[in-house]
Amino acid sequence: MVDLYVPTFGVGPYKVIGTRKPSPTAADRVTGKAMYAADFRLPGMLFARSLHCPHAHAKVLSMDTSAAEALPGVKLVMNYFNFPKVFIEPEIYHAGEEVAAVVAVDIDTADKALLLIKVEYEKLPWVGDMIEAQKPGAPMVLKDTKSNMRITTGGFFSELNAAGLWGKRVTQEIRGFGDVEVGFKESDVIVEVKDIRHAMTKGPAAHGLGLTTDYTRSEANKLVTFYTDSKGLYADRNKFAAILGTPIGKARLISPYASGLWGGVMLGVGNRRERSGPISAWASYTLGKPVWHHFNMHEEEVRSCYKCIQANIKIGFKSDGKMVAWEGYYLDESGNQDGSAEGSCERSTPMLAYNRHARHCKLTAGRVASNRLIVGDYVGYGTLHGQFCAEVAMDYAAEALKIDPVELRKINCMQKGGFDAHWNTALAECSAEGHRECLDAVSATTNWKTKWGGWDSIKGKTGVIRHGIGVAIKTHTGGGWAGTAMLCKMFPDGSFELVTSLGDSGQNRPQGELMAAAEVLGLPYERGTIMRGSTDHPYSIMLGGSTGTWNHGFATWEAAMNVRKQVLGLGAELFTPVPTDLNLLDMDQGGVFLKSDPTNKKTYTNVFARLASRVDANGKGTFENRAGSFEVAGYAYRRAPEGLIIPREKGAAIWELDLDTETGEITNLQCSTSDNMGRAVNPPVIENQQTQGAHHGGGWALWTDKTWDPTTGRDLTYNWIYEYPATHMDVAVKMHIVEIFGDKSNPWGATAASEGQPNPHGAAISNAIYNAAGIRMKQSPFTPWKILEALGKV
Amino acid sequence: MAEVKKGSISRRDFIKGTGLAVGGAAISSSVLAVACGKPATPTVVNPGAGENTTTTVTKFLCPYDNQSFDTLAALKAHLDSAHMGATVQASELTKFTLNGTPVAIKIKEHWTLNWVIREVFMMTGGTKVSCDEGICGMCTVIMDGKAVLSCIVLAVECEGKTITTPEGLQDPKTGELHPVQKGFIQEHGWQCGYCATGNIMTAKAFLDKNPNPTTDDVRQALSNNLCLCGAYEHIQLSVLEAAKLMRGG
Repeated sequence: MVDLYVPTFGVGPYKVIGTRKPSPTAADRVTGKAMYAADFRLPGMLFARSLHCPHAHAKVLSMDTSAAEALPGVKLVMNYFNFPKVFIEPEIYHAGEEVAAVVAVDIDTADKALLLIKVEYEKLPWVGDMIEAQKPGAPMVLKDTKSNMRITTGGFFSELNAAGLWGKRVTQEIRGFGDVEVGFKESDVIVEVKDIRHAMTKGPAAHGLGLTTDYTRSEANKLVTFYTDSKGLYADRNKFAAILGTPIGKARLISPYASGLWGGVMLGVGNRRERSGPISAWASYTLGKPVWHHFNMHEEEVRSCYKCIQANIKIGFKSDGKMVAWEGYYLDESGNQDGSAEGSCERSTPMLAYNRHARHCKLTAGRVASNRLIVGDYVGYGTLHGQFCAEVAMDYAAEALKIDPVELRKINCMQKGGFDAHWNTALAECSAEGHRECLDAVSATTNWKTKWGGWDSIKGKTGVIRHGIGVAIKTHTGGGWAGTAMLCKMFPDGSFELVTSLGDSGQNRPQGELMAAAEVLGLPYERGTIMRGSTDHPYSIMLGGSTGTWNHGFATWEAAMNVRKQVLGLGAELFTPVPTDLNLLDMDQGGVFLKSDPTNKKTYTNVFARLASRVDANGKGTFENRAGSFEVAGYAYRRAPEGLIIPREKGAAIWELDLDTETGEITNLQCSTSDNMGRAVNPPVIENQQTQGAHHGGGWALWTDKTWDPTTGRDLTYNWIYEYPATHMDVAVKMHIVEIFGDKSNPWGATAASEGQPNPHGAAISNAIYNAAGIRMKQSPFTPWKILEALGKV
Repeated sequence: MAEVKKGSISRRDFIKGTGLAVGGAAISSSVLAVACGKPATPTVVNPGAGENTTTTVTKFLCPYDNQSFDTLAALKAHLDSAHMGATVQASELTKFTLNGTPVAIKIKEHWTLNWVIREVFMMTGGTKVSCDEGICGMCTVIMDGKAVLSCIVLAVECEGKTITTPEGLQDPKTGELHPVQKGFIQEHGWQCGYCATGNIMTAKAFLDKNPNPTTDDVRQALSNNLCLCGAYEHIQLSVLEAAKLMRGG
């Protein structure tokens, strides 16, 4: 029997953890009862549509809205001049930003009215490319700046202690540790790769077709409700409440179903000029009716995210493949806002992924502003791009060293017994193992050794269609920047409920939390319910992956354990003699029983009846829970320790492909991907995350080529024909779950299956192309045209 | 027509009455012609009128501006004066069968089937809309046995057709899920789930014609349905499981 009074970190056996449980909302999803933000229709609803700026950089001088306002059915026309809080400033920083909105009785009328608005713009100089933006004389994107490029600060470490952790961290413009000049002098082989670039466009959200605000204007109860696809419910609530001047407690956000990967999933976070929410909010406030600010798919694209990172990487090795030094220079396109993720690049360097041997690391990272749409991604947040650059460079290095690229990674990747390039001792709780095991898993399943064939095999490949195979690893971490509150309740009929605002993503998505509570309480998973998806529920970071693996994991465990202790404590009083130690008791679907005699069972009806009887002489309950015989509740709030970068995602991928040397086309794509999950709470959830990573990561590297009109800065790739996502026909994915128990990232030993999933695939494809045809593709996407260019055929 | 029970508005009341009327507000007067069965008699329970006393009041809401009228004639007069005569004749109605129920509606020429399902019948949960231009497959419904993209099927094309949406897949008598729905649940055929119903409808039409498919058959059949969460492998497993269930397990 497992003692559940301390976390077991994956060491079972478990009854529920590790089984394949369906989503608690499964029936709603398949029958059409799952209502996403754009599916709500409210009584008296009005419809808002937006007018978008056609210029990449401009100032709105004036606007004539009289004709639009005169159109029958139009209720309100909004712009900077009458709603400055919504539109923030008259200056526009990328083509497609909203400059006005019409609210009308229907969408057709609103669209007609938009055509009647006359805007006088002052066009301003602009630059729409991160390379051009770095050149002398380039137009300044942001106000009061002298350069579009800005080097940012990070941690530089010293004083390595006996535990393998750095004792001192200084914030400065160079990140890393040691002295790379010394390191390169010690190296036998130095590899330098310049101008590696990886661009990713997340594309529009499938369900992100708008946001509805319902402002109830009764003086007694000024309540504003937002129906949104946001995953940043609490941050957005604070933002919207501040804009409206409404107490935060009077603002509710409802986001019952949302995905984590596409579109502007966090409306208010990191996007200071997000206007869709404020338009809907102020229109509803002004008109006293629900207002749906409707986007079509092309407009949704304007809200989606794009990011490009450019890197120069220099790595020094000993001749046996042990890494000595790493120097990297990373520039991150931050678009028209000064917020980005260049620091995330460090996670694919000796700062984390390759910290086994390297003792010298120097990273310089910065941002480049441009007049493009708000640039920031919520997939990997820069680790995707950094990993692409690192893993392409590692393949160059393996060739220079004449070492199998799988082996080179196994030599240098982080592992148990290595030293840690971070500063918080809590990080040591999270396992460094996994890369090697994951590399072994994908190597075995693809028959890597034979198919790769050695560095000289490339020269022997002839014919029009050439087969190639390539490898890369994945590394990702989430920051512990927010916590999770979880309320667990159990009822006299042996059912239970979790209440939180958890989103629907990652290993710890709702079924993972229900499974955890079921395991602690000894109850069937099917007897559990989870209430979530709005700010009516206790706060949560929303993300079930990355950081949520720690926060949700421990919060749920503790809340459920609180309930378990209460129920066993009540049940204990029914036994004669009363057990002195709750460890002598257990509980299951039928009730509380003695471990020594499971047949001696006390039903929950009787156990819960004890609650009502526990009243003292003053009529006050003496037990922690005073809810009579209705429920036993436990609450927990857990936040990862300060500075803990958790939990580490570790995995590997091998891609195979056929390259047509006459057309540049790549076909017959096959991906084998593996992850160390610590303990897989619900394997199919992880498998879906893995295939997500393969389809996204592969798609971004191969097809999603974001293109802007060079004369206007307008987005020319505004739907899924241009931004082609992978389909059933494009890639076949084999998934492998590696389990290494004992990781303290989660009470069940689970590690994250989340944003890092797409990280290795672009580089693995690039490396496979080299294996097929001897051409290095170091700038994505690998379009047929670019491949033919590399082959010297165009 | 509005059906309002003061003090206790059920979901059915909401959808049949206020909800539909508001939906009509977005799309003109078609609500007047929705023929999903007999017109309901609106009832208002007046708690102030004494115990066991029920007063029946019929109200007619204008779908454009929510003004309330006591008679249909008054509403029609209002529509004529305020909304350019938005009433309809029976000959102008488009008739088809939706999830087993004969319906007749007044449509505009540019309306799509998706618009009719979502904004006229207010069935926004099952038939989703995303690209709205025939790329993604999330709006898939079954028309006369074929999977079609409802966002690029015009409503005028539906005359005389039989249309099934995800809401119509369950056994109407027992409520039991269709084997395709069960297959998707058992094999976790989605992540965010927005594409799930479109995939299910495509799979249903496909499996009705090919009850014993290979994985490659499934990939081919569902190639027009995007899953932006990339859950393709589990979707394929779901369809194969559904095929097995449809064959009797």
